[in-house]
Formats: sequence, C-alpha cells, structure tokens
Amino acid sequence: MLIKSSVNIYDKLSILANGAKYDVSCASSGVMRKSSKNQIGRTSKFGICHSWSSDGRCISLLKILLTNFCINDCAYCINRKRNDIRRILLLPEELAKITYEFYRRNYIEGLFLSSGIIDNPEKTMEMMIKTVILLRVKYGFNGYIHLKLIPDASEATVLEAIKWADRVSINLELPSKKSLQYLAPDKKMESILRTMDFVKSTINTLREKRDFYNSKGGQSTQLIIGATPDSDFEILKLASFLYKKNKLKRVYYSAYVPVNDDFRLPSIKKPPLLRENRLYQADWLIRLYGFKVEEICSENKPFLEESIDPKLSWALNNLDFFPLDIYKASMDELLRVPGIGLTSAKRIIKMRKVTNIDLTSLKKMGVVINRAKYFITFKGNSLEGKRLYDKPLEIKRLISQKNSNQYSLPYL
Amino acid sequence: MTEKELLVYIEKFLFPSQFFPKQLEILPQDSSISFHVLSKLDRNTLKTLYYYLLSEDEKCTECLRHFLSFIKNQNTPSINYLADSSLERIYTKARQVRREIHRMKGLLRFRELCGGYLYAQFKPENNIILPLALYFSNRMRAERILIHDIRRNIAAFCHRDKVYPAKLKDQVPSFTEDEKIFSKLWNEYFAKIAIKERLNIKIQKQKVPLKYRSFVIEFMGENSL
Repeated sequence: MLIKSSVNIYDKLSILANGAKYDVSCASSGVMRKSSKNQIGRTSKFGICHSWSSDGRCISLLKILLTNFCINDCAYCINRKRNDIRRILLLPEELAKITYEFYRRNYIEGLFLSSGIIDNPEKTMEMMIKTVILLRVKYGFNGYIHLKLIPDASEATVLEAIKWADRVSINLELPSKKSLQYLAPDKKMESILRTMDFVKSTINTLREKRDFYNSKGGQSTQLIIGATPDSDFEILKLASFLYKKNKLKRVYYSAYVPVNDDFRLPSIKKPPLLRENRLYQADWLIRLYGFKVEEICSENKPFLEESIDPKLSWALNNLDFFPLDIYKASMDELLRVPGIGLTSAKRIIKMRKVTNIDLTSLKKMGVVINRAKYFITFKGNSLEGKRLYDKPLEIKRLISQKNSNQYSLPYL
Repeated sequence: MTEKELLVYIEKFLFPSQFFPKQLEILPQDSSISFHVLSKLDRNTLKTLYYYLLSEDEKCTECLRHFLSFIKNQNTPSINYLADSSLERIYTKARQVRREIHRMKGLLRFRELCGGYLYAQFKPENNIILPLALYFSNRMRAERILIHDIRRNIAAFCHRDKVYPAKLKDQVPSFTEDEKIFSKLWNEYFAKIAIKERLNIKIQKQKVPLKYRSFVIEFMGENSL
C-alpha cells in the first residue's frame, strides 16, 4: 500500500484519531509547571479535561497515532497488518502544528502520541521523538506530553523519550503470557516488563534534574478486559504487582470492543463495561484504600461480583469488622466503610475533634448515608444496621434498591 | 488600617473595580470589619472568602457580617463551616465558584481574530473572569487574549502574565482563515474520537451541561440534543 499524496489533512486526522481512540489513558495530571519566557503552555497537578465525547470519556489530550502502518498482527487491533485499511503517515511538522494550534485555542491540554510500527520499533520511536522535540523546541510547547513507548525500542531511545515527555507508557494489553502469545504473537511480555523496569529506574535517576521534562508524571499501562479468559483475580494481581514494583501511576482497563473478525476472539455484542467499572473500583481500593488483592477476590472467587461494588462486597463478607464508631475509628478503618471515601474520612477525623457528628452532618461531609448507616455507630449508639448483621443479603437488597449504575444503562 | 484604607486595599489587590462593580457595593460598610480582622485569617480562609465574593450572592452582606463577627470570637485557627447556615452558605458557594473556574479552564474556547487576537466568549454563573484571565495570561503568555463575559458584559485583556480590564466598543473582528480550518479540524477529531459501542450521552450531558454548550465549538452544531 502506498501513501497517497492527495490525502488531505482532515482525512489524515480522522483516520489516525480513529486508530488511537481505543487507548484509554487521557490523563494530563501529575506535573505542575508554569510557563516562562518564550514558551506556550503550562500543566496542572490534577489535570484539566477539555471536552467529553459522546461515549462519555473525557478529552484532555490530543490522542493520535503518528502512523497506522504496522508490522505487528495483534488479533484485537484495528491497525493490524492484515487489515485492508487506508494507511497514513503524519509528518512531524504537521502534527506539531496541529497540536500547537489546538492548544492555543484551548481545545486540549497537550498531546498523547502513539503509533503503529513502521519498518521497525527503533525507527518508529525515533520519529515520534522527533515530533515531540519539534513541538518542544521550535514551538516552545510547555504543555503536557504523553508518549507511548514502542515495545523493543532500544534503551537509548527510550531514555530520549523519557527526557522529552511528561508521562510515558507501554501497554501490556493482555494480563498473561499465554494470552499475549495467543492474540499478539509479535509482543513479548518479558520485553515489555523489562522496558517498564528500565523506565522506572531512569525516571528515578533523572528525578532531581531540571534540564529536561524527564517524565515527572511517571508511567502507566493498559490492559484489555474480556478478550481472553483471564480472571479479575489474575488482572488485579498483575496490576498490584506493577504498582508495587514499577511504581506505575495508573493501570488502565479497557473493555474489549470487537473490531476484527477473528476466530481467536470471543464473539460478544457489547463491550463488558460493567466489568471494567468494577475493576477500576477494585483498583482504587488497592491503590488508595489500603486493600489487598486477596481481600477483594481470590483463587476460589476469581471474578468480582457485578451486582455490587467490591467495597460493599467485602463489607458484607466481613460483617464482624463492623460496626465502627465514627468517633473512635482510625483513618484506615473509616476507609473500609461503604459510603465513606478519602475526602469524607479526612473530614470526619478533622471535625470530630471540634464538633458533634450526626447523620445530617455526615451527609454534609459527603458520606453516602444510605450505605454507611448499616456499618457505623455514634459514640456507641448503633443505627439500624446491626440487627441485620445475620442477614447480609437483606442489607445488600436494601442498598441496591436505590442504586443504579451509570455503566449498566441500556444502550441508546 | 482604617476602613477606607481597607477598601482601597481590597479594591487594589483583590477586586479591581472594573471587574467587580457589584462586589464593592455589597461589601459591608460598617466599621466592624477592619484590616486587622482579615489579616488574622489564613490563606485558605481568605481564598474561600474571595471565591465566595465572586459568586455575587444576594445574601452576601448578611453572610459576611455574620462571618466577621464569628471569627472575632473564634480561637481555633480552623473554621468549622458546618457550624451554622451562613458559614455553610459561604463554603458551599465558594466551592461552586472554584468548580466553575476549573470547568471553564477546560471549556473556554478561543477563536483567532483578524488582527492577531484570541477571543473567547462565555456566560458563567459566577463572576470568574479575573481568576480565569490570570490563568490564561500565563498559559499562553505571548498571545494577545480577550475574554468576554457575555452575561455581565465585562472583558479582560491578557498578555504576558498580566491582565487588564477591557471594553469592547465595536463589533468583534471576523475570524481568520486559519481559524476556520482548525475549528473544522477539531470538530472532525471530536466526532471521530468517540467509540460508538460505548455510547453514553448521559455522562456527556453531566460533564458538559447544556448551559455551557453554546460557546463550546464542538457542541455548537448540536444544541438541540
């Protein structure tokens, strides 16, 4: 297939955005940096979303491929070698200009650059870095840049990528070696994990340096959910391992969307959005709430319950942990109560020293009373929950009555 | 510091009057507030008060007076905003303002005008033009930026980390040719980036409320939704 010289820029952007949209990550967070002389752009610690597309996902970065040419033949991917689609290459100057013009109109917070592999990983990665350097140097662009690392690119090139980006990521895509071998035979798990190790140690070494951007926003990765029989337990175990070992900022879960006809893939009509949602909830519990993977699911119970969230599920299976007293419970304990989150737990700890707390004030602090009331007491006075402790199913019924999940909506 | 000096101080540093004609009217005029009382406050509380004033609350005088008498009798540095309804109102309104500022940092859309200006219109609930202008004066330092609050008909000009009050006298100049190309390109991109199999209009509506859509170019074509 040849690159048609007549392809206009609208078509190019359309096609390459279409190829990039299955990547989930769009965060522009983790780095706080103001703009200085001869620069355009700044970044914000918590990131800024600029728009929301009709699938409800936020658009923060211009998410795009440099090219949709690819030498790999991964079963799940829209850009795989054997697909007969229009192949296009965006020139570094074109992409830099578009990013700059979008940025100054405040459409985006920065660039998310990924790519299919053209010729070989090394060459592809070098072209991506060239684009980023052009943007940073010629245009003085100081906004957020997320660079996707191409598997099997050399360490020298990966180092260069880290220097110019605010965050880098390399996608594992599938949670086990076996699955990867089956669906993406060109990718090697060891090689990807090795790159992650290298990224971690490099970011760490460059941490104090101020000469470049040095990916101060860390690294992330992505896993496809539901394309293989891998269980939630295996997925969460892997995620937790990566958080610990490689200090990943995020593991993204992407519900499998069928784009190719392939006998190796399951035939599903809708992507498993609810499962994806439950995995994110479990991910938060592991990262921020002090839960262990084994508390949420296990070898014997390898899949998360879909009907209720993992925190409530844990609480109902561990009713002897409750009720907890709002005045006495520690931060870690409060975080175990369904309906109490990080912010409200902090508020409770601060406020209980200076004032009396009741259901009304708890509500004002952001606690979801309909859930929390079954698991808490006030100075020993228990609420309606305790009498139900021998009937966890009844609590479950009462709570889920008033609860509908935004991801389980019927399709429009 | 006398009351008059305080008002000058507030006007100069917190509320340049051109941006906040309303705020200066509603500030309590009695002598019970003094710079001394305000200077006791920590940064966060001052910020909360600042954001609260931007909300242009109709009960502003009342709540502020209450607040000032409250902190005079207060010994602890941290304020319990749930203690009574006036304080809660201040806190809630301030939070709404803070959230609208954050939202508009993302949703404001600039268009390139002939003559080399970037121009954005918006219609915020709260009077947030100054914090936004300060933000954009740094984000795009070298640009000459005009932000125009249509609801209050006030405008700010931003350039190289500085913000100046502006007045728009005549009609806004027309868009450049480049502007047409890049806004079309953006609309194209915006349509393509959605995954059809995941369609979820409800979340989109929640995140981009209809009241803001008439100034966000990717939503201008589909106001009927």
